[in-house]
Amino acid sequence: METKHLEKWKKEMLVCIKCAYCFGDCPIYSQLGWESASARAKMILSYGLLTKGIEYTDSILENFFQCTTCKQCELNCPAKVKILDVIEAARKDLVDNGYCYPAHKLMREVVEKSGNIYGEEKRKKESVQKGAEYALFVGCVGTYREDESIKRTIKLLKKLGVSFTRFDEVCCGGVFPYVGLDNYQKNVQHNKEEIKKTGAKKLLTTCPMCYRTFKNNPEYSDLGVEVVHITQLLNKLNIDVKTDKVVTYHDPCDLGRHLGIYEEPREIIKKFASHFVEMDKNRENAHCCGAGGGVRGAFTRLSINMAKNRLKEALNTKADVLLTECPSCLHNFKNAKKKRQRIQIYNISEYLSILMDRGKKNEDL
Amino acid sequence: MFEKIKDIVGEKNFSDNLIDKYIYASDASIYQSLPSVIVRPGTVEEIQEIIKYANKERIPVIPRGAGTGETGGAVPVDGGIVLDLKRMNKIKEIRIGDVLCKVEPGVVNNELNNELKEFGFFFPPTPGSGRVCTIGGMIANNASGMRAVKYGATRDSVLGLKVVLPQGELVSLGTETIVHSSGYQLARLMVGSEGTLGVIVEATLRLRPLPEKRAAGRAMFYRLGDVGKAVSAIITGGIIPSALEFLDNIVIKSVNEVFNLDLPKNAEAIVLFECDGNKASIDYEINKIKKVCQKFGSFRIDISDDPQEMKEIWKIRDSAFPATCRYKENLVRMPLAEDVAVPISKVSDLIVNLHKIGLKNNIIIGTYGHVGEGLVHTAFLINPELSEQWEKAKKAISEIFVLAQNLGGTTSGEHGIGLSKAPYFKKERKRALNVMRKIKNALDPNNILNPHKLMDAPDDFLTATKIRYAVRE
Ligand SMILES: Cc1cc2nc3c(=O)[nH]c(=O)nc-3n(C[C@H](O)[C@H](O)[C@H](O)COP(=O)(O)OP(=O)(O)OC[C@H]3O[C@@H](n4cnc5c(N)ncnc54)[C@H](O)[C@@H]3O)c2cc1C
Ligand code: SF4
Ligand code: SF4
Repeated sequence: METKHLEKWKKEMLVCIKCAYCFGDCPIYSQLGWESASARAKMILSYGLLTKGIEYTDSILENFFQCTTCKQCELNCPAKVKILDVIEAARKDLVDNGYCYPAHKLMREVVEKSGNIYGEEKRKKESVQKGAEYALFVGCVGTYREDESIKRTIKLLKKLGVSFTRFDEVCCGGVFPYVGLDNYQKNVQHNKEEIKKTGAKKLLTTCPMCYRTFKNNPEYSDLGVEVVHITQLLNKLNIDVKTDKVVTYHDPCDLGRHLGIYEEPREIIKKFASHFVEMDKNRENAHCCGAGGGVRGAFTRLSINMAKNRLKEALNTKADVLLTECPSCLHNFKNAKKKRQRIQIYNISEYLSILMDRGKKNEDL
Repeated sequence: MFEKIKDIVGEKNFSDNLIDKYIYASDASIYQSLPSVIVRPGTVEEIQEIIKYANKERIPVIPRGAGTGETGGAVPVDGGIVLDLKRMNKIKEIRIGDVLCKVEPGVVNNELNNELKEFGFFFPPTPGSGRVCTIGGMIANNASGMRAVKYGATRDSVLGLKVVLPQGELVSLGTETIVHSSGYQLARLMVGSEGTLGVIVEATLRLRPLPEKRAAGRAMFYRLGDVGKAVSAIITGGIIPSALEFLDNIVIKSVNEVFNLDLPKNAEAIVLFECDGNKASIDYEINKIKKVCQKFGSFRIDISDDPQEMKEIWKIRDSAFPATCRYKENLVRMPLAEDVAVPISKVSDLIVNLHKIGLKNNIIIGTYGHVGEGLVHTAFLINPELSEQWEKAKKAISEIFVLAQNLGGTTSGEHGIGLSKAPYFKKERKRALNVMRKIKNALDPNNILNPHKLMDAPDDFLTATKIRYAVRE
């Protein structure tokens, strides 16, 4: 197997001291229990592939793609090994050699055809206006799988008087490099042009993965607008609702470990919820919901099991409401939730909108 | 042949997949040798059944904890069955009234300590790998760490063990009492046996109360030679610190670079120390250590009892291992001859001469470690893909072991012998080898349990198994 991407990261594989600190809190290792599921194993396998110590088998493909890219291992690693760079390089090499998960391949194809990862027909965008301060980018999961939640978010933005416009967005392509594929350049170009057309100075995203993509992905480096996550915006606004419910918060990996946004969501929640409780694992130690890195598409059951695990941790806090601010986490938690589990799950912005309506209708939410 | 084994543990806990075999072929050492199968037993009965079958069929069985051993202890030399014991991770009992706890072998050191903290107690051995290493692995290697200077190694905290012997028999060794003089100290025999005499399936451990308070300090020295003298003087000066460590300037440079610290570049070494107890005893001990360090030429001493500042002090020590891996672009750290120990009065000779060996062989060797126990870690920095570097390292290693033995020291202070230190260990213990072999033979006549380790490991440590690097001429 050709390993031109791995070659660049050889030093990282050699620097790995095999200490196994990366076992702890790896959501995949916690589920599977075999050492081969850990980041340490991925470093050993990468070196094996690079130096021809091991030949390709389908289990190698499975191994490298069973990682949510949650970054917990990098935080635990005392040798500061660039684990995710190595894993991404291995994925790229696998794909370049023709080994790719059908789910990922299909995703790439449908994005090319339809502009979104689900191959759904484009939905008409409402709330389009000229001269808005923010161009709002919702992303595929929000638009096509969590549209009820997103409707609420949009309602909230309007209610709070945020000047925003929607536009003809297509998939930002953030997931592709993580599954070893190239982004679809036509989409990148399309998004850039559409954002420009809005005339907005800022791009507002609800999905942390999209936020990360627009902010850090070199393909978008000439975007020319400030990229803002909705938690950063909401934290600056005046929020005038309250709830007595016990509320807990799940840090999405893309927002937390990848971008260091831990406090803004908490500050918002504390403004409206007097009973805020943390899960045992929070901020940089928050366990992953299992949705990222292409795992939900390729290993659905494993992905849901990770979400179940995190949900259990939320239930352990005795919270009535689990909040997050990520359509993917939200979607995975909802899929994992059993009917008898009484906890309510929302995005923060969605929940705020509900609370505001409650003020009107006097409902007990 | 392995169908029976699969039946015992169930399909979910059995693997003969190549990827799993490739991963379980190594631990944190330099070795790589594939097992035939890996199993993850969940009960003592399963382990007994596996061992009985393996003994009948003469299949090697290799117990494994977290695979953080640095000597190849958990590497299956002849293939066979790797017993991954991490599923057996229950803390069975915490009996504060008897100052003990009972645990399964897969319990992780730090997880046990987190539980014990709530009761105001701790399990003292504190190995650097405590975040992940298992109690079974710690007992099998007689691991220790920075607090061993005051609280002893793992052996000093093991009261009793349940062990599955190499023919499948389950035995209870030791007691639940702090002392016992009722016959052979068989639990101790298992401590440090590196998985060659039995599979530890339960441990009764002695606990210690968490101290009321701790304080830590660091003393910088211009001259490496003064460090050993200061340490000997501290240890013989009538106090027992709860930690006494050092690092040399190769380690200081690495830590500065990797972790953006600004430790003085002109320091040849830093001594780190900690005292625990109550305020009065700590003040007294810290003051005494400070005076000794000053007497031996320390040019700067920082002391703190603030938890955050103490964390910063220990961060340097915790970073030593990983940081040395990034000392220079094309060099990485190899776990070789990494834990010789000498009597405390010889520490200065050891440290100074280790550096001379490095210079003479033109090889970078960083030194640091639990110097209060006479133990010095040697970080060999080499390019592991060049055979010439291994040859150089091999020569330096043999000189290090000769040095340690000439100073009255020992081949391994805490990591064990495994596959990497056999010839030197055999030389050091030549008058005990016979007894060791007789014991091994009596308990394991078919030599199924972790064969080719300790006194049975090959003499050439570089060819004991394949090395896990792509070495070229
Ligand atoms: C970063 C790092 C830091 C370290 N720091 C220290 C330190 O400060 N002090 C120290 O002493 N060591 C240290 N070590 C070495 C190692 O972590 C210890 O020896 C540890 O005790 C090994 O535990 P493990 O669970 O990983 O065992 P493994 O590596 O899996 O096994 C070690 C040996 O024990 C045997 N074994 C494992 N479980 C059982 C069982 N239940 N019954 C019988 N035999 C068994 C195995 O066959 C093998 O021979 C360090 C290692 C690393 C990588
Ligand atoms: S934590 Fe880092 S150094 Fe340790 S085994 Fe994992 S990747 Fe390697
Ligand atoms: S990124 Fe997350 S899932 Fe992937 S190996 Fe690291 S800890 Fe495990």
